[in-house]
Amino acid sequence: MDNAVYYKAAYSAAALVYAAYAVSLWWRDRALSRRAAALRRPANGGSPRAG
Amino acid sequence: MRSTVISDAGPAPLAAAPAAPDRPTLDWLFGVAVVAVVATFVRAIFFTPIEAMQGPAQKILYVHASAAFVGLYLGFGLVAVASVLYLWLKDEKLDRVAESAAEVGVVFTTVVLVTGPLWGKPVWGTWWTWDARLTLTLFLWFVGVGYLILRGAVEDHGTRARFSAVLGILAALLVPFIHLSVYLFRTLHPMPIVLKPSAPSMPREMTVTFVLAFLSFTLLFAAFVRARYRIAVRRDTLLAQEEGLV
Repeated sequence: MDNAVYYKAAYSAAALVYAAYAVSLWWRDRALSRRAAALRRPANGGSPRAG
Repeated sequence: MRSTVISDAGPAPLAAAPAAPDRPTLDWLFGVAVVAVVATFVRAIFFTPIEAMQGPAQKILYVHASAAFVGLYLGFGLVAVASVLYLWLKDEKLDRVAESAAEVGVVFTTVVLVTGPLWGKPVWGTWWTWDARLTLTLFLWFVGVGYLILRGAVEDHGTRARFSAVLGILAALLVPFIHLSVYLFRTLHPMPIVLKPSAPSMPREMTVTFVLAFLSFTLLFAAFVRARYRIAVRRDTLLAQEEGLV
């Protein structure tokens, strides 16, 4: 009985779903980091001067 | 009569914005979980005997049943516990735990629903059948997706958390029915071979592989929930900063 293609497809699909979710977590984290950096940036866009 | 506002009046401010953590979202726990899952896959594929009746397709058990245990029992179980505690204590951390567990639970249930038909086709001769176990699992997945859509649709934090908690508890109530469905209804799906009162109905090598798969998937679940929780904390901190609360 050769039905190995089904388990190979199942393992590949599971790995794909988990990998896609990990990428989505990383992507959302990166977007939040960029939003936080934009919020910290001074309103005039330049670096804050001493004094 | 007490009314609930979906979004007309704008979101209520977050009561307690936590400090933004500097730790990476996907950290060492995620790395350990990935190594454990890969090792389990290697053991299942190359070092676990092939079952005589079903052939190689039986190896889908290690992915399918482990994902079901973790996604349904741990995932939606955690949603229910965190939701009940949220309704009692009104602690935003518990709402974030429920939110994170629900999303990861949906991911694991997706794996269950994708790998199940790939096992059903060679063994039952059909990709899908509308029996109780399969239909209830699909229904739970829809409720889980609905839970996530609800969270995205309601802007008021308190309302969102309260509605989500109720829906999360109702979703988790499906899990015992899913587990018992093979006893309550005539179904193509086999009876439990591991999670039952007597000893597992598998040879020792297969049982060891299954336990390893369960443990590695549990690690992956923990890593995903922790990462998702950190994202929720960062998002709430940022929202509070944008609203001028921090």
